[in-house]
Amino acid sequence: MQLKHWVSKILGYDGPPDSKDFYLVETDEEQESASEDAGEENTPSSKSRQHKIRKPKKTGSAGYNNDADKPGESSDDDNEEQSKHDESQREIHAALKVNKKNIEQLFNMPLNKDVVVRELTLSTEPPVQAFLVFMEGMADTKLINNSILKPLMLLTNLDPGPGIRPDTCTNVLQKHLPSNQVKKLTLFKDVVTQVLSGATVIFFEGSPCAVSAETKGFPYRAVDTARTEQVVQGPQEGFVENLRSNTSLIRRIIRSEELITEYLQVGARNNNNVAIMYLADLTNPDLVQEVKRRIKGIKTDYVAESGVLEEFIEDHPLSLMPQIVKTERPDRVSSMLLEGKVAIIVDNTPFVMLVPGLLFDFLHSPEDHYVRFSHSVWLRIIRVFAVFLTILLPAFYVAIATFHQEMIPTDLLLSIASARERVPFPTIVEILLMELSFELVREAGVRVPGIIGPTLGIVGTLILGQAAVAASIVSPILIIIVAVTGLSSYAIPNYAASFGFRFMRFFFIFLATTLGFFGISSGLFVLLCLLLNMKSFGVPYLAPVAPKTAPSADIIFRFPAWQQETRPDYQQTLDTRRQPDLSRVWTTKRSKQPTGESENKDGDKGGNDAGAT
Amino acid sequence: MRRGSRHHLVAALLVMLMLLFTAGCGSNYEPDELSYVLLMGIDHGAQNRLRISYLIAVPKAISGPGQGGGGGGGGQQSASVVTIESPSIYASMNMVNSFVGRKISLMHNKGIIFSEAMAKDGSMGVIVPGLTQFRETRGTAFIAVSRQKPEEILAKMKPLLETNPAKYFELLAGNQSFTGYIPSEKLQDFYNDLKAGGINPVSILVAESDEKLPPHSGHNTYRTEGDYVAGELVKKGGVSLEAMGAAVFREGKMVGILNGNETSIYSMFRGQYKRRIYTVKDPLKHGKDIVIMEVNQKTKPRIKVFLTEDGVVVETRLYLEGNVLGVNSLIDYGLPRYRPALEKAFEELIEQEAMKLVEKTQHEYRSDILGFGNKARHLVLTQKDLEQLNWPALYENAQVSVKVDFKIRRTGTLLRLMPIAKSSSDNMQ
Repeated sequence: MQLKHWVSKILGYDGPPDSKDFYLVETDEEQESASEDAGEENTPSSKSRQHKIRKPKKTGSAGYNNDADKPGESSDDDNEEQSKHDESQREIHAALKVNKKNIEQLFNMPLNKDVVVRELTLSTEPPVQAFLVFMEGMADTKLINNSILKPLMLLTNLDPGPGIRPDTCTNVLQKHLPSNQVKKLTLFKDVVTQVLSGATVIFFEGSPCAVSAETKGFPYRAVDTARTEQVVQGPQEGFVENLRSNTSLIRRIIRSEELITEYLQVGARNNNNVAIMYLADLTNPDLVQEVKRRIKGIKTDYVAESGVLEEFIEDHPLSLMPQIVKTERPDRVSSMLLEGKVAIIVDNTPFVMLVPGLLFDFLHSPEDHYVRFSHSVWLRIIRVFAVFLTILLPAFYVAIATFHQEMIPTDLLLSIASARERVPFPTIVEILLMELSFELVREAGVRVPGIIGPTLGIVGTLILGQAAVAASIVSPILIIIVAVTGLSSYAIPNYAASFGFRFMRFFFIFLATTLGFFGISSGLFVLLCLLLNMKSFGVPYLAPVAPKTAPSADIIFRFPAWQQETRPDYQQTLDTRRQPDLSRVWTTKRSKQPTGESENKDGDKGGNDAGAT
Repeated sequence: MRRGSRHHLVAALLVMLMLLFTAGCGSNYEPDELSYVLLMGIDHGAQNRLRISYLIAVPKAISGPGQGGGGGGGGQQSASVVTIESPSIYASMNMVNSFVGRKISLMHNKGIIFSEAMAKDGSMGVIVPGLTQFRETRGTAFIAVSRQKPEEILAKMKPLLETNPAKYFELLAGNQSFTGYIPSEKLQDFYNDLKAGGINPVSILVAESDEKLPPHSGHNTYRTEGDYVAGELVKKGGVSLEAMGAAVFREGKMVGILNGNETSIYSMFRGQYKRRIYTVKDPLKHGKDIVIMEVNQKTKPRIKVFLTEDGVVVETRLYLEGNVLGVNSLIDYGLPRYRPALEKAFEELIEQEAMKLVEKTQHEYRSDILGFGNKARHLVLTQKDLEQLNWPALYENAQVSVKVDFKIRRTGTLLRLMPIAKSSSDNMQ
C-alpha cells in the first residue's frame, strides 16, 4: 500500500500546488487599451514590425494618474515588528529619569560601552534638563558637537522660552536644531532603531517625546570600479557596501521624481536595512507589492547580505539557475529599473538584486548596449554559444568518444585513440579528474591571497595540464576540452548563472557516460522542462520565448537603440512604450514631422542642407 | 520550496536514474578498445566461404604522440593487413578478435574492395545488401573491384604522402571530382542501383600497378588520357596501385569494364561528372597538334524517354563548358572566328564517345548503367506496370540520341596567343 501510495504520488497529478502563487498579470489599462486598439487602428507603428501578439501602443510617456493605491504610499505598515523587549513597545514618558532608565535598560547600558548617554541642560530660562543618546562609531561626533550640543547648550538662551512645556520637542525641532533630518519620536522602539542606525536622539524633561537628528557617520568604502562585472566601454563604477551610497548611485543615473525608495527591515537581530527601488509610474504595482510581501514575510534573526535575502525570497531555491539578477553596476540596475524591474538593495552588500530575473537577463551584459549594434549581436551569439559549450562540451566528448566513434573524423579518432594509448583510466575518469582539478583551480584562485594569485594560475593551467599529459594520466585532447569549457563558462556574464551552467555539465557528463547522445538529449529535455516550470516573481523563467509574448527587441539579438520601442511585454509595465516608432525625428523631412517642436528646427535645417532624407 | 515542484523534481530524478539503470553501457567502448578497420577486402576463400582482409589502423603510428617530434611514425607501419577465412563477414570480425586484442570495428571503414572473381560470379551482389544492413558500416564507404587479390591490394596501401591509408583511399576515390576517370559510387549508391529496376550499378576498378617503364623506341602515338583501365597505366613510383575505369554490373554480376574515357561519359550521363582535363586533336590544324581543355559540366544532363511503336526512344542532352588551358598549334581560340570550330569538334567527339558507350552497354553488356530506366518511370503508373514493361529488354533496342552542348568560357591568361618568332623557315609543322 505504501508503495502504491508513493507511486501514485510521484507519477500522478494531484492538482495544482496549494501554496500561494503569484502571477504577474497584465494591467487593467493594458488590457483595456489592447481591446481599444483592436477596434481602431490608426497608429502609424504597425508598418514597422509585425507584432504577432497585439499589444497596446501607448504614446504618452508620463502622466499616469494612479488613482488606485500608489505603491509609494503604502510604506507605513511595516510597524508590525515583533517585540524584542517590552520596554521597546513603551511610549516615551514625560519624566526624564524614567526615560533614561528605560534607555539604559534597552541598550544594556553599563555593559554596552558603545552607547553614549550625554546629559545636558538647555540654556533656556528656566533651564530644561535633557539628555541625548547616540551610538559611538555609528554617529559622527563632530556633527553632534557642532549641530546638536552647541545650539542646544549655548544658543537656546537667545530665545527666552516659558520653561518646561510639553511641546519642547516641537519647539526645539523647529527652532533650535540645525540638522537637516529631524524626527519626532514617541515610541522607544523607534528610538532604538534610530540610535542603531547612527542618529542621535534627544530627550527633554517634561516632554513625552524625543527628537532624533540625523548624525550618521561611520567608515565605509568609497565608490570603486566594479570588480566582477567588468566592461571595456561604459561606466566603471560599482556599488559599495553602504546602502545610501548605492541608492545615490542609482538616483544619479535616473533623475526622476518617480523613482521611489522604500525601506524595510529584515533580521530580528541585525535589523538590516533593505531598500526597494522602483519607478512609480512604470513598474507594475503588483510586483512591488509582491516584493514587499515576500521581504516582510521573512522571519529570521540575521540577514547579512543580499545572497541570504535572495535565498529567502526566490521562487525556486533548489534550482541550479538563479532567478534574481545580482549586479554591482548602477548602470545595469537603472536600465533594468526602466524595464519595469524592482531593485532590492540590502545594506552592507555591494550587490543589488533585481526581480524578476529571467534566463535571458543572465545572458545580457550592460556592455551590449554600449558597443555598436553589430558588435553586440556578435557578443550575444558568442555568449549563447558559450552557454551550450559550458553545459555540453565535455558530455559531447564523452558521448562521441565512447558511444559514437563513427561521428569523429578518422584522423581525429585515431589521434584520440593514440593519445589514450597509455592513459590507464576510462574517458569518464579522465574527464572527471580534469574537471575537478579545474574546479579546484577556480576555487583556489578565489580564496588565494592576491599576491599569490598569478602564480596559482600558472601552476593550475600550465604545469597541471602539461604534467598530466606528460604523465599519461589524461590525454591532451581532454585538456583542450576542459580548457574551452572553463573559458566559455566565464564568458557568461552573470556569476550565479555561469556557476549554475557549470554545475549542470557534471549531470550531462554522467548521462553521456551511461547513455551517450540519448542521455544528453533526455537530460536536455528534463532541463528544459525544469526551466519551463520555473517562475521568477510571477514571470515565467523563459519569457519572452517560452510563453511567447510580444516580440522583444532585446533577447538574443539586441536591436539598435532607436528600434527598441517597447519595454519587455512580460514585465506588464504601466507604460509599455520607451519611445515612439519614429524615435529619430531628424531622419525625416520637416513636413513629415509629427509635431513641430521649436527646438528641433535648427537641427532639421542642418539635416536638410546636408541632403538627408 | 513548494510541494508540487518538489514532487516533480523527485520524479525527474527518478526517471533519470531509471534510465541509467535500465540501459546500462552495453555499447560503450573507449576509443582505444576498438581496432579501426580502414579498408576491407573480400574474396572467395580457399577452405571456407570467404576470405576477408582487414586493413587495421595503428593509431600510434598514424598520429603518434603529438609532442614526440616529427619523424615519430616513420619507422612504424601505419596500418597492417589481417586476412582470415570465415563463413561470413561478421563472423570474420569475431574470428579476427581471436588474435587481435581490440574489438574490430567497421565504423571507419572507408572502402570495400571485392575481388574480380566475386564480382563476376554474383557473390558481391549478395554480400553488398547485407553490408548495407549492418549498423557499423558506412554508407559512404567506396566500393571497388580489384583485378588482383584484395589482400594484395590492401598490402599495397602504403601511401606516399599520407600516413593514414584511409585518408589516402578517401582522397583517391574523391579525385573523381576533378579526374572523372572513376565513378563516384559509394556503398549506398551501389546498393540503391542494385535494388532499383531502372539502373545497374558500377564500381571503381582498382589494380596493382605494373611499375615498369617501357624503353624508348623513338616514336610514340597519341592516346587519350582516359584510354586506360586500372593496371595499364605506364607509371612508376608512388603507391603501386591504380584506380581507373569502372566495373559494370548486370543483375549483381560484373559483366565488363569501362575505361577512363567511358567512365567520364558515364558520369556525365549520371550528372556526377564535375571536371576533367581533355587532350583533343586540334580541329583546325591536323597533325600532331593538340588542344588541352578543362571541361566541366554546366548543368545536369537532360534525359527524355518516350515510348513509341518501334520501342523506346531516349533523347539526351549533355551540357558542358570548358576552359582552354593550352594550344600546341598556337591558334588563338579566344578569337570568335576560331572558337566555334573547337566547340563543334569537341561536341562531336563527346557525341561519338557517348554513342559508343551507349551501344556498348546496350549490346555488349546489356546493362543500363546510365540510369535511363529511372527516367522511364513516368511511362507507367505503378511499380507492377514498370515490371511488366521489362525495361532491360526495352533498353537493348532503345534508340538513343546524344546531343552535346559545349561552350568555351575562358582561354587562359594571355590576351593574345602569338606565334613563336622565327627568323628562318619553320620546321615545326
